[in-house]
Amino acid sequence: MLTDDVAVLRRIPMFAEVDVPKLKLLGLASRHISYAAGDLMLRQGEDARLLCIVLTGEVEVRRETAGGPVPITRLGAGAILGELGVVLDQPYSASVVAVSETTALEMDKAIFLDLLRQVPQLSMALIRELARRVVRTSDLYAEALRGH
Amino acid sequence: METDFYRYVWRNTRPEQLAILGLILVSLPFYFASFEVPKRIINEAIQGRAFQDGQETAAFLSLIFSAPPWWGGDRIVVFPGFQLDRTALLFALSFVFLALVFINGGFKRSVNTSKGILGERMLRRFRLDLYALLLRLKPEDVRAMKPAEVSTTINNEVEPIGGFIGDAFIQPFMLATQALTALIFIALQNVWLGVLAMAIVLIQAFIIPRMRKEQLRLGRQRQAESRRLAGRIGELVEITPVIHNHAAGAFTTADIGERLGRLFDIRMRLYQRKFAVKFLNNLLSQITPFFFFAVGGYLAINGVLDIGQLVVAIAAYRDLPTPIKELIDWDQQRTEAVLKYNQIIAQFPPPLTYSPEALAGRPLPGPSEPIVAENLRVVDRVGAPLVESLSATLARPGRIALVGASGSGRDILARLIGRQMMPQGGTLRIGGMALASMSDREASGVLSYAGPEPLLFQGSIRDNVVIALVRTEAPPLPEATDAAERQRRREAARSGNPLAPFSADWLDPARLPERAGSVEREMFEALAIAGMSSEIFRLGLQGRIASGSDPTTVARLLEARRVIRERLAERDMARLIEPFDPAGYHRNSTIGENLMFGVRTGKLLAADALAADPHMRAVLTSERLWLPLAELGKGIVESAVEIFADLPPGHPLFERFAFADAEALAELARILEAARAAGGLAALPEADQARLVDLALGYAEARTRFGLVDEAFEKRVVTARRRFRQSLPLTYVGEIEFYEAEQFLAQAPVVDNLLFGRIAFGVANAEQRVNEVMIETLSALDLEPAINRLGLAHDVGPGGRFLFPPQRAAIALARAILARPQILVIDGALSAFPQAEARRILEALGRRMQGGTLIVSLAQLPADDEFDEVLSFEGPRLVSHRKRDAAPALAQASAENVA
Repeated sequence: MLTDDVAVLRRIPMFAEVDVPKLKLLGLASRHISYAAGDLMLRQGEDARLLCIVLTGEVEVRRETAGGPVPITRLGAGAILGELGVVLDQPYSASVVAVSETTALEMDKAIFLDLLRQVPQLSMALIRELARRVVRTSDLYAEALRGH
Repeated sequence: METDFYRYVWRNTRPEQLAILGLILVSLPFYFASFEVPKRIINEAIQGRAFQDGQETAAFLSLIFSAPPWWGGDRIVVFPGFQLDRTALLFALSFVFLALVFINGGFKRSVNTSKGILGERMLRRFRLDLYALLLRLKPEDVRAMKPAEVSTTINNEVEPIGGFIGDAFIQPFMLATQALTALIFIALQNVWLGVLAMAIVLIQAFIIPRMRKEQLRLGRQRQAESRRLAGRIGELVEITPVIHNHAAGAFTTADIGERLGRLFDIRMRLYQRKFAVKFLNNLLSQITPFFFFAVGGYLAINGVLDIGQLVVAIAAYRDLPTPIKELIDWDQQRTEAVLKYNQIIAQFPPPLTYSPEALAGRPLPGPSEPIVAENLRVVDRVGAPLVESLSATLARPGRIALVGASGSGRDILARLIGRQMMPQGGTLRIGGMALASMSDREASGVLSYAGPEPLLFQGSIRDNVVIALVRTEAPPLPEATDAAERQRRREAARSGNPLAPFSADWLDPARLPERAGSVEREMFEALAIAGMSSEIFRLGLQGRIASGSDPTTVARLLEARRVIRERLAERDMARLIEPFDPAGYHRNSTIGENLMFGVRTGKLLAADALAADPHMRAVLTSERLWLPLAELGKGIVESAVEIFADLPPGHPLFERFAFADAEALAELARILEAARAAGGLAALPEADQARLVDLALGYAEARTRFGLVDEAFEKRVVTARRRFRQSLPLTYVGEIEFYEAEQFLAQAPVVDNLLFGRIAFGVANAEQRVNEVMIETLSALDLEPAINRLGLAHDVGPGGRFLFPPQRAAIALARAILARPQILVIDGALSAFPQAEARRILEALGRRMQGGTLIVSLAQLPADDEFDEVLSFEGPRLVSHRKRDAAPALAQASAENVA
């Protein structure tokens, strides 16, 4: 049910400050999809036509290399997947596979971009999320430098 | 195209015109007799002048020639006639008059019909000639034309000319001879009356055309303004989405309003002038009898004229104004038609002309003859250069990249090679043959062009692709077997139209190179290169197998249904499909679909007005579902109002996910407000309740997830479903095909027949996984080609509007590669595809064009550049020309451009 999805979305820090009707719009504009463990959610190199918001379960982000897939990280509820490819209009930079039974909201690129334009709260939420990642990456980079 | 209207008409219709003119000449004596006989009726029979001096009888139908006195005054009696008494003579003459009425009417009818048909034939020829002219114009001239204006010209503006063509020669001849006959007749009765009639005619002929001059000028103005209005409306229709997007409705309406105002002014002045002329015309014809009564009466009283002569002179004069007025009208029409003809011809720029050798088809350049550009120059409409002094030799076969910013010389060179425009200076040759001198037939044998705009026409995907393989000449005509076909061909020949029907077999497999496979295989291969294969299959699954089609196909589809079900079960994929189960609620369908549980096959039970259907209404009432459904509709409206509160009306998101448009939703919200005020939905008028019920009937919980349908409600719907079917009135037979597990649903899409259910919402990759099983099964049962053929039959809509942009682009691309051209120009044709897809298509094109020449325009070179030659442009200038294994030929290109 839409209200259940909204309840999950509200627990995600990125959407914590977004009004309920806007989250309902986000939910309505998405498809609620269930993945079995092992299901491929996004494929590296494919055109980014949609993005996913993990509602429940766990997924693994993998980089496909000539020597086989290399796991990069595991993510759980609240993770947004494929948003960089969608925003930058580039193919997915990595593959995403469901590790356990997972549910996610899947949204087409055009609708997502439209929502960002129409609902400033969502744009702000995305900006905050990306800024958080920049900070996290910078911290990791600084740590790595200190380690050397 | 002939520039002189009269020469154009005469050249194409001479024999018919002469035949009708002859017919008019034959009719004149009868016309004269129609004046003469009434005179005799009055004078000889009624007044009894033939029976003076005690004669009891008079001769009727006697044929006697009297020689003039200076010739001896002999009388030669050819036929003495019948001797009749006075009453018998009256009736005999009256019957002769009646016979003349029929004869003259018959002549008139023959002449009018013949000239009408002649005009229609010429109209047909004229329209076709204009279309043929359009095909011979320079591509850039065609692009500069507004389609709506051209179609208005070919369709509407030529219509009055066509109407006039029949009259061009015949009308003045017929009217003038008739007027002259009447005038001569009047003059024979009395010279003065003749002079009087002549004088009035001359006054009319002098004044009225002068007054009509202004009327004509206004008419031309109206024509031009109407054409501009049509062009503007056509343009606005094209950009309607932009108008909505920017809420520019008021702005564009003001534009149209202003144009309509201008048109109104012209039309108003035109009417004023038109009726002034009409007034004068009427006045002159009404005043004339005054002179006839006064002068003619005076002459009759004084015995100069007898009563019979006066009466028939007046009768003859009554016949006179009509031909005169019509002659004046004809003259006006003539001026208008000639002007319009000139205007129409002037609207078309001068066409390209080809040498007879080019039209006959010369030997085409070989696949290794280079493309040579010498000093090419192209400027835009204001004279700014688009390509400057471009000289380059492109070796063939090879892969050639034209690189530069959009709008730079790269686009122009691609278009020049693709024959989408002509250079204003310099030459572009393939081997020894100048591109500008090549006829369409020659050029299409060598090259093909796919541009940034996928140009599609209303028809199937197949029609849009296979046009690349149609015959360049009409197909051979089989012997006509029936009279209708012979008549069709005769008429086509008379108006210079093609004899071969459009329904003939226009496909020319000979346009494919020898190494190619069958047309269908080639078509699928071309579509596969353009990345359209799975789309064609998907569209095929949405297609319908026509009722009465091959029963073995139907049997195999039912077999496929069984096999797919088994395979899905074997692979633990049964949950991906929700089958149609008569005993259970179907969650992936709407409530309305659950109630009907079948496919609509007639006009009743339209999905958007189910609540208004009497049977549905009766079932919902008896099952006590009407108000609960209205309540459910209320829930939908409340959720939608909350969710879409901040979206502007008309926003695409709104249109896509709201269950009604903004206006309807606001109206529904008002209905809810009224319900609250009235104390509940039950108090609402039935029409308002029905609107809410309709909303509910279109709701599917699995899709929208508002949480409005629970299991108890589902059970009630299933019960109502049974009643809906059991109590179906006889009048609904043939209106619905119920879901039956073992039956083929002729009106349902193929996919519904194969799955006998729907792919479940919300299961990851369900559609893709089910499709894989379907393809596998269909392939095993040899049904895949049938589904693909259905996909090819999918209607693309006007201009391809039923398809998404990448689908349109793929079809246009498949068309360009279908005929396996020596040279393929890809000019921005991949811009509609996502990056990775565009790259894949380009690679596939590279493989396809192995041994041929592929020319691609690009913004920048890809990292894995495999081009044999790269021409880089900055604005209109070629700044480098790099050939594989050679240093960039920068110096040469720069030197040429500086020069």
